Amino acid sequence: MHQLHRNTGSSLRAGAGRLLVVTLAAIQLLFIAFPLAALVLHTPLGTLWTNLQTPTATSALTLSLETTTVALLLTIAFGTPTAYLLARGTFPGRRLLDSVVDLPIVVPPAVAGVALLLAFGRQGLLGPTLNNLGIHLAFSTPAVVMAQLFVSCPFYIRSARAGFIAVDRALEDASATLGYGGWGTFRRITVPLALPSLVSGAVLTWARALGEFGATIMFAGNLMGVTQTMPLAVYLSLESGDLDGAVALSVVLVLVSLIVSLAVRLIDA
Amino acid sequence: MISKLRHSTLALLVFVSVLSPLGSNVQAANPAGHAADNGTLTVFAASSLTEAFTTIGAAFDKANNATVRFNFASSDALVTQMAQGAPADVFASANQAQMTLAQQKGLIAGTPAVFVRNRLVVIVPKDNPAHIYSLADLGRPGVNLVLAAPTVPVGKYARAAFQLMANDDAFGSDFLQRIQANIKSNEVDDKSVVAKVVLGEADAGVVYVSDLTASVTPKVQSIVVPPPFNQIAVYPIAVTKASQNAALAQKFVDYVESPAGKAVLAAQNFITTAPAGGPSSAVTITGIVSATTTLTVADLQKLPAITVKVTLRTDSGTQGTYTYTGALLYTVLQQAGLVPNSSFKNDLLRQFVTVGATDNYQATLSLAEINPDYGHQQVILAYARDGKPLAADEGAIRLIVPGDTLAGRWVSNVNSIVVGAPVGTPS
Repeated sequence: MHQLHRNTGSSLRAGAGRLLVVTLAAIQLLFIAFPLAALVLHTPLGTLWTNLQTPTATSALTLSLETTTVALLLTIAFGTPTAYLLARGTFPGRRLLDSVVDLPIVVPPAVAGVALLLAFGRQGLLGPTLNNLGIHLAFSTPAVVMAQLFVSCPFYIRSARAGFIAVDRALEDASATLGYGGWGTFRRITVPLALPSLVSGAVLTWARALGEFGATIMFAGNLMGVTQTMPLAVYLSLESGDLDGAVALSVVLVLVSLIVSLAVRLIDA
Repeated sequence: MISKLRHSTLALLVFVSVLSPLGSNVQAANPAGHAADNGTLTVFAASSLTEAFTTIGAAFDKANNATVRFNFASSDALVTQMAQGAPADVFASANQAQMTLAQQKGLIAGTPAVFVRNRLVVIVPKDNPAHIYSLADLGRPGVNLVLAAPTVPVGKYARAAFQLMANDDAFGSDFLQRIQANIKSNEVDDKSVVAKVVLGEADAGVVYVSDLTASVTPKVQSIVVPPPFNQIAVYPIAVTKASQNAALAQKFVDYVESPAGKAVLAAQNFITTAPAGGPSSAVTITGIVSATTTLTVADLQKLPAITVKVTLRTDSGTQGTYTYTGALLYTVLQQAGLVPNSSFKNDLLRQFVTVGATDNYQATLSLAEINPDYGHQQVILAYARDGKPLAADEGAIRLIVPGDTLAGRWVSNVNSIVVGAPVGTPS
């Protein structure tokens, strides 16, 4: 705003400019807030609570909670070393790897679903191998976790990588001179300093996993209690004319998203 | 600062993805840019109509200088969308229930007309990994069976078919529970079920015969669901109340019902209704025959016409005396080819014929009673009464058994004939 004021010569024009900016911003914000408000205001709170007690809703809530937790833990286990490598490693092709890690964010979820099918599906590249090992992913809960993992892990890796880069190397070097090994330094210096980034990345990853729809319905199918997560239940409820059921789960997802959005802002601040 | 900016972007991405809906499958038969002087129509159609309507739409565009856009989804999803204000000019549903629901919600103008019918088929991947060769195999433990959701018409029909099989002792009393345990996914529509089978993720799926398109057929094997279990899906079509171009919309409905439209639908394996108008326009002969054969009213009319004068009596008394015209049932069976089993003496005298109707009503005759060398009863599949098409409640084809006192075996709306034989081997 200051910038705008200084650059436009007359205060009249500045006033008009400010009005324009505020108006456009107001329209934009309304455009985001209005549909979400319509969703939240659609059902009275009591009815909403009742609609969340249906078998479809409770099993979707439980399944979503379980699968996203596993997806998050796996992301942290495998994503943290990946992020560290991308932040600290000096090797050819690092930039390329950076871009590859970001791909699932950019790729449409439906494409992710097709890719997962062609890789891990029964007719996929690894299909026969998995089958020989007795691993049957088709229409299973692990398939849901894989879909969530695929689309959500980049959020954690990106955030963690940025966090690791921001850690002062001098502090790590000092830790090393004080006798800590690589792991000790990582655990006592690097992780605590990068913690806000790690946590906000984890929160984002979890939220994205919670919202995963396209890849899940393509790769894992849709069965209550096994592969029907909250977004699938929302879609199927709406399809079958159960608007109230769809709204109830949607409101939960919106509220969770709002909390996540606020949490990430607080952590980053 | 950079890190903070990056996080905000990430947060936004998450926010967007969490709330992203699945887009509707809207297709324009006529690509934009084509001059469409007579306007644009939006047709909401059941996803099983995708191929047939896309072809019909292109022909309609050309003939009427218009642009038809299609929104293909499951019928229940389409009703939800229309009820939420989605603009549709024409609604074509894959069952009566969703059309009735649309009428109850005040979305439909005029009276919906049934323009085509469909039936179920079981499909398995080409290499048939679960070795499924019969309907009973679907209940074998460990089979990955994929259906459409129970709220989607094709999913509802599939479950009704399994219910009928479960009532049949041949499938075992626990058939329904075994099927239930094998259902691995409830897909959003028939096309999603096809996709899962084509990809080999599912061992088997239940879809419509119209889903066996030119691109799908080479990738799957199909297993016939015989008439006693099969469900006939009825497709009503209507102009919507909200249509901004009702005249053009009606023109589209008329085009779908025209011979040109019917030809496209028939090419997609749909059962097209005969112009005479009963819901049973064709009869399919299965069982112990040389080849599964479907005969329309027109096909029956090509056979020697037999006329019988009969008095129609039911439990509630005499209804009247009529002259029915039709083809001899025995001649019709010969069209499909009777197959005597040489390991039984006079096998054709053991066999029986069960005639079924669209409402699953069935009546059985022995093959001997209509055999010219034995009973020689003039049992006919009638298509005319007193020189006119049959009454509306009789459908297009009715079985007439002149020797019977009561008309209980005079099956109306005939759509299936199964030739069978007693189970068991004599010593």
